[in-house]
Amino acid sequence: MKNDPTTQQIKHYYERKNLSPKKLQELMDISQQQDRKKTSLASKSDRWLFKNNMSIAASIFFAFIIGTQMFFYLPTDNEALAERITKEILLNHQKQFNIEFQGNNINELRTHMQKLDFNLIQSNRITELGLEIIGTRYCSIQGEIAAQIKLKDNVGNIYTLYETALKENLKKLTDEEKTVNGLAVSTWSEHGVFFGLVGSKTR
Amino acid sequence: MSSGTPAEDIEILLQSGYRYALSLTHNSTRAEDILQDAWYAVLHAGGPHNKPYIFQAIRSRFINQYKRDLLVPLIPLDDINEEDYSTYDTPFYHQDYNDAALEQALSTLRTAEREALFLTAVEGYTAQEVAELTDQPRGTILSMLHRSRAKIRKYYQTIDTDTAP
Repeated sequence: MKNDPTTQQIKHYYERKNLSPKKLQELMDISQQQDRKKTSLASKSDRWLFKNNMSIAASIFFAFIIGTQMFFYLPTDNEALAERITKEILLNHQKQFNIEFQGNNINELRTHMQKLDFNLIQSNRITELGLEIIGTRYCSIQGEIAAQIKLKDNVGNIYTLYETALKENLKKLTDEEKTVNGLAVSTWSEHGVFFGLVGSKTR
Repeated sequence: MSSGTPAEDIEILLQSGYRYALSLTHNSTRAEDILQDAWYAVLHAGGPHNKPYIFQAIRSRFINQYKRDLLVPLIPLDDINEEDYSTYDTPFYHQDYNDAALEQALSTLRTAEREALFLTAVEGYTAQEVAELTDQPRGTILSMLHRSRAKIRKYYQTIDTDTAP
């Protein structure tokens, strides 16, 4: 059928028909305008995405920075525990509770403090400071039984020494010395006992 | 459609679209208008730049504009006049017909017949492909093709008779 003369003639007839150059150019221009429009839209879209991506990247960056800062500045569990202990022994020192058992050395106090779950010991630091023992009473530090020992220096300033068993949570704490509200607060550990001392800063 | 530059490909596509529109309208101005309308639609829709897509766009616009029922009547196979086939028995061969005569012959065809002839003769569509594009039964397309060729032959025979000494 394709070789049929009529078919061939019709084929040649239509193939010689062309759009007028003017109309062809018009349609080609429309096509180019549409392409430019698409490119422009794509470009705008790219810019929008770029801007937003930059914003997102900046947000992530700042979130990372803030997170990092918070990580370093937020107290760790150990720091928080040390902070709580400091507050607790400071408060107890300021209350100036009466002593339950009098005595001027650790051995004497130890005989009175039978309920403790650890042995009271003489801290080297107390010896170095030349503090004199006045007496003791039971107390607690962070829920654990402790001894609150009253001491005084050679000018009569009162100090409070706390001793409690060095439990696992306290083992993680490092020795500290700080001044809070004009009072010196020290915490340390020796021979399985945790110590906390509060007293005059001048000492 | 991908042998040349994008601009060349588009030009070829537009020329094919124009010829298809011309086969429907048999009028160059209307063909250009329909093509332009269809081309706008194709670009706006971001449709593929290929013949089937633009042909469909042209066809739907042609039908919408001129009422399909009036301009593209479907003729069931049963309605075909057997006499129309009588001329097929004799091989038709006419060397002298020119574009003007063919244009006149094509004008005697119904739109659907001209469309089917164009798609098969120029675009190389099979009857099945024409049927799919025009949403008509393949048998209807085949009958239209036979009938349209017969009409053209008949037209030339008439011319020959009229111009015979």
